[in-house]
Amino acid sequence: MTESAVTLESRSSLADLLLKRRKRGVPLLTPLGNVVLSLLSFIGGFIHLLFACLSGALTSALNCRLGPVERRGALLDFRETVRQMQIVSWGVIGIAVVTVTSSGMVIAMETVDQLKQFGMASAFLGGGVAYATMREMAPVLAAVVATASVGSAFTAQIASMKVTEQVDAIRSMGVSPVRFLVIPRFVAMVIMIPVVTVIADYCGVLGGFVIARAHGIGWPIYESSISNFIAPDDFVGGLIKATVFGILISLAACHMGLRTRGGAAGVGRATIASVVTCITLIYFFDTLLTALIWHV
Amino acid sequence: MRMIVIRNLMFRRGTRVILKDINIDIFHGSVLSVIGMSGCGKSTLLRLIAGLERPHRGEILIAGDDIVCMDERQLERVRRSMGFVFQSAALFDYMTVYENVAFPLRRHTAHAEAEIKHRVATKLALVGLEGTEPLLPSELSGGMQKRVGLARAIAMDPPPQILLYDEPTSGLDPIMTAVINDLILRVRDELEVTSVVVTHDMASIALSDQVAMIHNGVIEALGSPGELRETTNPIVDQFIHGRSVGPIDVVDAEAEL
Repeated sequence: MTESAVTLESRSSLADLLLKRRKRGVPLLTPLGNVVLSLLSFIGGFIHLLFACLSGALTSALNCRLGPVERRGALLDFRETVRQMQIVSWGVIGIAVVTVTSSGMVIAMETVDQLKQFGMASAFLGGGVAYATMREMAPVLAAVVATASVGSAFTAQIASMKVTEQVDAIRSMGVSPVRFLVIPRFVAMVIMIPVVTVIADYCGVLGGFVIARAHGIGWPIYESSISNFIAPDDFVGGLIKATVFGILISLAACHMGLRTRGGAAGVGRATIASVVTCITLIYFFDTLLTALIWHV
Repeated sequence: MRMIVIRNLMFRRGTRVILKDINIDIFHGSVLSVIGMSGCGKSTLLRLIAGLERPHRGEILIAGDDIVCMDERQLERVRRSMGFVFQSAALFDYMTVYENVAFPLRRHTAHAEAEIKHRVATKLALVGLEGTEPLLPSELSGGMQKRVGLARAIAMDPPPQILLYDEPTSGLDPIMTAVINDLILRVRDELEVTSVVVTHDMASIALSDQVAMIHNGVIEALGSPGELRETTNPIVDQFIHGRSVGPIDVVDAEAEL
């Protein structure tokens, strides 16, 4: 007991020293240090949330008996999880379909003329469109669209609950905000982003077919090009990406919301930070996963 | 029996010390009012008792258990025996009144929906808000929101043993203030709870068993409402009687307009 008091004491005097230093500040170094510190605190908070979500989901999967929600675990907070899945699907499917369909069409338009010059349009058009859509376009666009529509809403809602003491109210009733607010959103995103990606896969391929058709390539040729060209791991790799993106978006968005401070302006700042962070994370991990899945 | 014991409590935000050294015993079934200047750390004290903030030093014993060294999971268990009435009511604004009051029951108990419905109706009747179940918090007045907040705080089964009120009467008209003050006493009598009330309202102070005044991070005075009114301590005297001039210097009288 006394020992822990001593460490607390010495830790806080160190914090004092650091704070005084920070107030004086060194031009250039201080802002740089602040960026590094906030990056580290984000990574720490993110990993903490990831473990809380995974352990929460795991314990409830192992411990799925009937009883109060808090005791039977959050994965089976069925009502809230299903509600979040509805929110995610309504927010994402529409725009994901539009963006990926038009991307499929654009890819087809841009490639069909070149392929024709070499006489390979019928052999390669379907495969090319499907390849680009499944490996890159569908998962990434679905994730970006989800960030813009649902991820930002997650942050805004949790942030405004934070600044109006609603998050404290949850805690004051002996409920964990992570279990009540984060895990249902996490589960909803991790399930729904891959589902949306599958739908978007079809849309991109069909969008490409519209252009192929206009250039006189019929469905059997287009389809055989796809089946010659696409391996199962193209499709599965895209879904792995989508799952990882779902984890990243939900956790980053919720984390940004939960650490919001300072009124309406704070909510605004949190929402901007959330969207910027999510999109950065999506493209960073997109590159990383592309290398890991197909090129290592 | 001591319900809440606070020893050598110190809390700071950044380098600013909010609470320097707080020592207090709160007895089972009593009402303690906490008074003091705005920003003196009254609400922070409530948040510390509920474990919503961590102190930098000191002990907080709730029914004998020190909550300072507990982890979040253990704290959750302790908080189930507490109710917190927030200054802003802090109702979940996307849920109806019914869902708000049912929230702790749904999360912590295995009651059937009919049982929950019955309990919610009882608690709402206790605070005089029968039939408001389907309304959203935005459709209620400030006073009604605070009463729903109180209903939610006492909804748990078994009922809480400690109730923490953060300025329950601020911003209310005199009649609603009296209603809330009556409720605090009624809830104490019916549920035998220990209450801690942070307040600026002299009527709320009068009904409490003990009053603690916080000034400069320490308990400046502690006593019954009568004792504090008769005090010779100039700081307490100035505060209780609301004088702008005295040992507590808020504005510089010499400054030019």
